[in-house]
Amino acid sequence: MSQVIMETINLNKAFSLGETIYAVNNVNLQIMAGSMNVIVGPSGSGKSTLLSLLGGLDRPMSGDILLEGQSYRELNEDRLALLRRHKLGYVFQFFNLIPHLTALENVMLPMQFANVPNKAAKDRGLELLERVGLQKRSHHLPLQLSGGEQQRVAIARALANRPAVILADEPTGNLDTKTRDGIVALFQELNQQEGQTFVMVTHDPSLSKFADKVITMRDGMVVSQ
Amino acid sequence: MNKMLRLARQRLQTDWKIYLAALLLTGLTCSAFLLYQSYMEQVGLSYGRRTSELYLIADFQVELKADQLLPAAVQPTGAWRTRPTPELKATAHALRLNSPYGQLSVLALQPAANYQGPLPQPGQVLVNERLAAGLGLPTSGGLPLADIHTGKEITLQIGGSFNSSSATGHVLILYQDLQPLLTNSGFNVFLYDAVEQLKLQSALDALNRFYPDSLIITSQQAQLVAQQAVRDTYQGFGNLVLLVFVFLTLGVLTALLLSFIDSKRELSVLKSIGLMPKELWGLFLIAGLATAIGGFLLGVGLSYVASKIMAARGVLIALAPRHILSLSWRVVLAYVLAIAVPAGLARRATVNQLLYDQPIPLFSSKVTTLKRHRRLFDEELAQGWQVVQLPVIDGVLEGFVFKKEGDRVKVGEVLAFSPGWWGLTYTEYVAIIDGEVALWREDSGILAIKPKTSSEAAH
Repeated sequence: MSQVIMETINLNKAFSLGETIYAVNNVNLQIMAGSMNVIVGPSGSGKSTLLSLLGGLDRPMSGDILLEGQSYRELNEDRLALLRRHKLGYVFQFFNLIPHLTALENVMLPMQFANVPNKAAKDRGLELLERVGLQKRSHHLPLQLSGGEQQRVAIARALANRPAVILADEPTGNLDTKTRDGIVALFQELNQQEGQTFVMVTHDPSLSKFADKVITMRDGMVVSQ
Repeated sequence: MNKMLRLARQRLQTDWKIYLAALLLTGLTCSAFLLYQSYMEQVGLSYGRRTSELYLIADFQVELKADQLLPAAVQPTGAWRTRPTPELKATAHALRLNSPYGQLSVLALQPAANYQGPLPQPGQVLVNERLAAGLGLPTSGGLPLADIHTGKEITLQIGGSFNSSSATGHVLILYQDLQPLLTNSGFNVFLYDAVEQLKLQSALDALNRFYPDSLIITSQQAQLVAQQAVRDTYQGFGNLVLLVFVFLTLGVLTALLLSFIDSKRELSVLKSIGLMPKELWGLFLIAGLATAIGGFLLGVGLSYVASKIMAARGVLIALAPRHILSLSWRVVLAYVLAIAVPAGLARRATVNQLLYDQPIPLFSSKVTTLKRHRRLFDEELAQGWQVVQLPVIDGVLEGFVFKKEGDRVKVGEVLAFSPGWWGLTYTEYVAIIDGEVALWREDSGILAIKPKTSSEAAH
């Protein structure tokens, strides 16, 4: 019986676009440790907003999130940053690599923040790049990499500090079929072999196939889970 | 620390054009400040030197009528009478001359002067020993002098020195050869010390009697005027310096804000992978201070070169360590103020605010009670209700309300929030009582909470 690793309590987030629009409307979710979760729903249903709230990238207007029992609301920005550093890995839809750092330097960055010695960070960075099939491109800048390769670097970076939960926003959205299959396989492997928890926003049925739980959202609300 | 330095270096590399502009601006400002301050200090110093010598040698001055001679014998009253000075008994002209030792007052003797003291040879000067000691005047060799009005120059040999009583003392005694230098106004200058105060007053009285139409200026007055002049000069200078550094602050602030806007995406990534807001602050601080130090050194270098060039052209400028010191704290202050805004924004912003260009509230506050229209809710407030009002502009509510009528609220719960000032401020409305939302008016922005009754509380 696995336990709850992440939980949301009456989570709300609204935007003002002439009128108030609730992107996340009173969401209560439970994410089990070691599970593969997929959030699906039409565009504008609040999937990405929910994921960024889970990742501590944005503050909810009301409600709370608990990660391993720790309330986000109780954390100041510094402590929240430490939580992101050590417990969360976030993969953006548009990769968001630092353009003037090489693939390896990008992957090493979270470890440098965590004060991992340079040698150890480099070894782990190379190991992660090898794992995503990019060991030969470690010294390339993001611009010299294809979209799929950049996404794999971003995934390697998210894995750097061995986070408890990986949050990914459309990780396969911009990729060709072959690359996508590679990434799906990698996620499965990490999930099954290392028991890492995944929460992904996706339109991709090939990812939903492996999910332990599919969360469907509409108009900011969870309609089924 | 190492990682901060590395990140700061990356920031400088990425936005090098912006930081270079800030560095150049700083360099130019610093060199202008140094040159101006050094130059002004030279002006102030020479002014100050004159002032202190006035204080030293001139107790009062008499503006004489045209070609008016001192009387053959001025007979002071009181204690003065017992010790008449040789100078005062002479028939002479008094005049002011410039010298390397500041402005000196000089008594030019008439050929037939009934003068009792030591006499110089024609073309020579005699130096008052007391004054020579006070001013550092030599007692032998040549002494270049210049008329303060005409600028006409003459070098006279110092022919010796003389002693005068403590209450008197022309600086020099010249012979008649100086006649062409004479001007229509003259100075009769006395020394005094505290013991001789009374004598001074007597002498003043005597001069007043002899020259009823003349303006008599005492050295205290002259000194006040000089001090005021120096103060005015420096006051104006101070305002100018303030203005220059306000511009520097605004210039650097603009540059750093540009750099911040330019690198929002990168900063958001750094934050998303766990860079702490306080580390982000440090990042801005290191990059900013590196620019400040670079600009500062550039400024010192530039002003050094400029001072050499100006010295070659006859403008004396002395760069002093204390100017550089006073410059350094000004530059640090300007930079700290300039860094505070972008660093504060970067620090406060959430990852999404940076990533999606959302407004970043620089200031946040909490509101717990009604600020206006209190009298409309006197009764409710008296019963312990909590009433708050959100801003409504042109009939549109500026903010979000999380509660509706009938909802339960707990102490500390956020009821609503409103952004203000184009998103720069963020106000939260917080419950301070347990109760129930009794009133919510979207058209007026009024939200009222009725406290839980005691029976409810017991329940």
